Amino acid sequence: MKKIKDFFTSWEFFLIVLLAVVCAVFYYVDASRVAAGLQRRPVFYFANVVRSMRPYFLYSFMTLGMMLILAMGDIDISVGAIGTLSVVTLGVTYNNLAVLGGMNPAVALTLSLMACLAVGGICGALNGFLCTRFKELFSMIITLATQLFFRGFSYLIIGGETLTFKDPTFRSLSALNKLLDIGGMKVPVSLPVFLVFAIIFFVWLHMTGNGRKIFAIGTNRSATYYSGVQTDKIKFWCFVIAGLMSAVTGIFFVGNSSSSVKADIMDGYHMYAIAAAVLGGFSTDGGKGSVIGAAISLVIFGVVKFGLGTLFGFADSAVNLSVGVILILSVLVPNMWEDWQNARRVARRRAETAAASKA
Amino acid sequence: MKKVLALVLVLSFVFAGCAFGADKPGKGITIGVVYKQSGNPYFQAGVAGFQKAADELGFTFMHDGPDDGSSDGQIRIVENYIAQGVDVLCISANDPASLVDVCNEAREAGIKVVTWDAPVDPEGRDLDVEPASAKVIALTQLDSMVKSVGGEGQIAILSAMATAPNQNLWISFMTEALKSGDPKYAKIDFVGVVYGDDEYTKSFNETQALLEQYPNLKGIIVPTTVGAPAVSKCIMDAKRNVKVTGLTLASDMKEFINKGIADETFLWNPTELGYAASFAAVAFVKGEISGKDGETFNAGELGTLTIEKAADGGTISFLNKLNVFNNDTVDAWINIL
Amino acid sequence: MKKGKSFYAFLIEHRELPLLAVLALLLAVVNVRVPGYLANSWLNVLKNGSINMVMCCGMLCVLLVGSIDISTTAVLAFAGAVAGKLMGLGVIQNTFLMFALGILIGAGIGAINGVLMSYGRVIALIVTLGTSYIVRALIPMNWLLGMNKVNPTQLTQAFKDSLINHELFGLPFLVWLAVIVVILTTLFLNYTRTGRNLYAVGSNAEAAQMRGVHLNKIRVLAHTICGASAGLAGIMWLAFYAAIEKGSATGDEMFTIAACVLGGVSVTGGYGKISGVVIGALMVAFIDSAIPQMQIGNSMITEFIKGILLLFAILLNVVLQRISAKQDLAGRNI
Repeated sequence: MKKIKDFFTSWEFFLIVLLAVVCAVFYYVDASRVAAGLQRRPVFYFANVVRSMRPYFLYSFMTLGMMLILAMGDIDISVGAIGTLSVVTLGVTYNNLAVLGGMNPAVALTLSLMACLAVGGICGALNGFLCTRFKELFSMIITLATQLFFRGFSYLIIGGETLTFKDPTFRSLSALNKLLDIGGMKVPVSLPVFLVFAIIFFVWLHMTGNGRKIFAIGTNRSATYYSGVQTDKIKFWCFVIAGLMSAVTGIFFVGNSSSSVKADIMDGYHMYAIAAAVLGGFSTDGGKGSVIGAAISLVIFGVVKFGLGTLFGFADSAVNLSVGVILILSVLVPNMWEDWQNARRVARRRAETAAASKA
Repeated sequence: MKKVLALVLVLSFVFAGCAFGADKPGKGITIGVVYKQSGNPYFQAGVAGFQKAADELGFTFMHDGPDDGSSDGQIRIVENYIAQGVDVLCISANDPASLVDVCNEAREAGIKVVTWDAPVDPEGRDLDVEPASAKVIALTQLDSMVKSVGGEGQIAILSAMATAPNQNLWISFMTEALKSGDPKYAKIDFVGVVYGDDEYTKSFNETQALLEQYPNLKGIIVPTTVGAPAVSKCIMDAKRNVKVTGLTLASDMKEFINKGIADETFLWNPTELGYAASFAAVAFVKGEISGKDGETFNAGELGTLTIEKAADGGTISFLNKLNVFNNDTVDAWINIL
Repeated sequence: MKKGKSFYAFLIEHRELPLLAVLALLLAVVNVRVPGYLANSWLNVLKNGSINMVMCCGMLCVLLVGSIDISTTAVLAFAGAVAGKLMGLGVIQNTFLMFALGILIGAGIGAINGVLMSYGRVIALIVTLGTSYIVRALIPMNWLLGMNKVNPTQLTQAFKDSLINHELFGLPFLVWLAVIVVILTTLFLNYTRTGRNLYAVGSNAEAAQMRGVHLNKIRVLAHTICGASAGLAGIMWLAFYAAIEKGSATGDEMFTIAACVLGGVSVTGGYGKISGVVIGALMVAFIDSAIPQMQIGNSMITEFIKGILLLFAILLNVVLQRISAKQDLAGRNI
């Protein structure tokens, strides 16, 4: 009974309700627009939404990495730049090996993908090293500096060029952007991949000791350290994983942008990742949040952006406005709710004491 | 009898009116317009062209551009337009390569892709509509600069993003011409290209550095509308005798042209560009053209435009009109561009 | 030994000194590479740095109470856009009114940030991230700039001249305005009770509360000051560059924060001196101006070098502070 009550008062349940409400509103608006003759055909139906959410789902992998960092009470604003550097590495390695070096394209692509992931991991390791060795500095400051560094490094490697590959091997990365036919339902490739990752993260974060330690660090680092947890080691590896997830995002990004590689991409992606994680219940103070919440909030952001753009004709910039509002409300509302609950509890106690003293 | 005649006359007008209204060629067509970045006045002028054509042809259109001027933002917008089921997409691409896949998806769904102002690679588009050939645009600016500095001295270029395809193409034509050994460029010393990223402050700072580095600098070519006012303002504050030319909006540059910092600047009319693109779009839906070399389409006030083979292997259509803004003409343009 | 102790004690007292050394070192390197750099560019460094300097003063107040504000540049663009639009419409022609309007708009948004952060208990990073999204998205709305920008023809000549073409002792008003803001902030932080309370709230909120300091009021005040400085910076921007648009100064808030951190301000609150912040802001402005002139490769690697230099300066600062702290402990014979 307690468990059921917990579920209905949990943040994840609230997010599900929110998603349902948003979908219902959009569905109604869509239907009434068709009825009024403003649209030729309905827009807001499942297949259409799922299809169009591909670009919004790009940063879902980044969000998974960001969750770890936020759970520890840190923040990493270099994730977008790490993605850029990994993508540039991918393109340049492939260009040198296969196009200029004449290596077998399939081997070259495998090697480039490995290089891409390795660069993501190394960048994350650099962040992790600096954040654990220089604890006086807020991780935001360190990752701010490394972000400039990574982004600049990408320019150093590739300059202002756009690498476009027309050969079928590299173009096969575009398959990451295609739609899979699962039982008659068209689903973008990134969705099942994300689900696999999300399940791994869910099990790791919420069901293993190591995962719980991450939340413990966020709640109270010193206490965790003195209870025998190697906080620095965990922190280091979390940054490495966040870097790897950025590289994965980068690979999908290449798929999304017609297998072209350039240096001015993924600017501001860290903000999207933070926004999605925070709506999912993570806090920059650390110690809380859940993978399920983050996954649902990714869907909410996708649906809201899609709906506002297509049904309400919001411009891209106005869609950002809604992101800002959602972001603030998603923290403000539960706080107010908590305050109200506390006030009610205090009032009840007071009434009880008063009744008791009267008796 | 008179009354009957009058009645017939009136009725015939009414019928003609009805018939005319029904016959607006673009009726029922929806166009999705995608431009490079929201909040850029250049594209507002472009959208005005679509509006003008919509009034004449009777089609409806939506327009949007990404907040941050990125190509993945444009992909998002194109996805939304595909979901809404537009008939034609008119795109000004931030990067020719990135949008190929999403454009092809649109074409598979039966949507025609017309690019204007900045093309998508030929395998992802049906037709490109451009103001003038890149070579003409580049050499017009270069020759104007050579004239402004009196045929000799150091000149530099301040461009937009280092990845900007249009700018890079123009710059390559300019450097080619400078190296060609043409006697009119013989005394011109080209010192290099810097990138202002289409950001006001970055362009400003880069200009400051240029002015300090090259005390004898005579001129800066700015082939981007965002950079030009920043460069001019920087030169004005530094009180240096450096000439500016480039592609600019009239309203941005009026002050600097009047003060003699720029002798003349250029721009095609983005309104005409949008106007022509929408006529091409409607012609596509009506099946009048298929985007092949040698076809022609009616572009309203602009007359008939011909489709040619483009340098990148696709097809292209040029307006071949470049407007000059100088002390005499700038006031006439200030409310338009 | 005694002499050593007092030297390190002195270093502990003045955490910004190592930074000054780094700045001097960098200046020397650049001056060797680009002869006559300092003589040519010092005025440009001051001019370009003064807008950031003003925002740094506000950011210092926010950081002192243990909060942060990343909406400053969005507020800058918004305040500039509103004021510029009003001047373009002919509603405001007076230069002083423009500055007052900018400060008011900024203070208003800052106060909202502060209230949400303190009374609403939303983390400052999230609140200001949210407001920066919202405020920036308001600029391209049709009732404000639409797809246009504010350009020089919409501004009065007096306003455009106000900061750049009037000079006092060889420095333009723009720089003097920053100097005035720095002096006012110094006076406020060091010589008023409220100013000292900012430090108290940041270093130990509970102790401050015990002493009767109203925590939330101080936090709202700090955010209001920060917003006001950002609003002022918006009008300075408008007067300096004679143009403002939706994307103006995007991302620059990070350099404001970086300047503060370089200057030894603690991001967790309670510690930070205005002198350090001034040096930090100068350093960022100097890096911005020097790199394009160093002619290292092409101009695209500015960011790369900026990142390395920032990281280097921040880490060196930390290392030097650690050494001095260690020496201090050794000197006390603990």
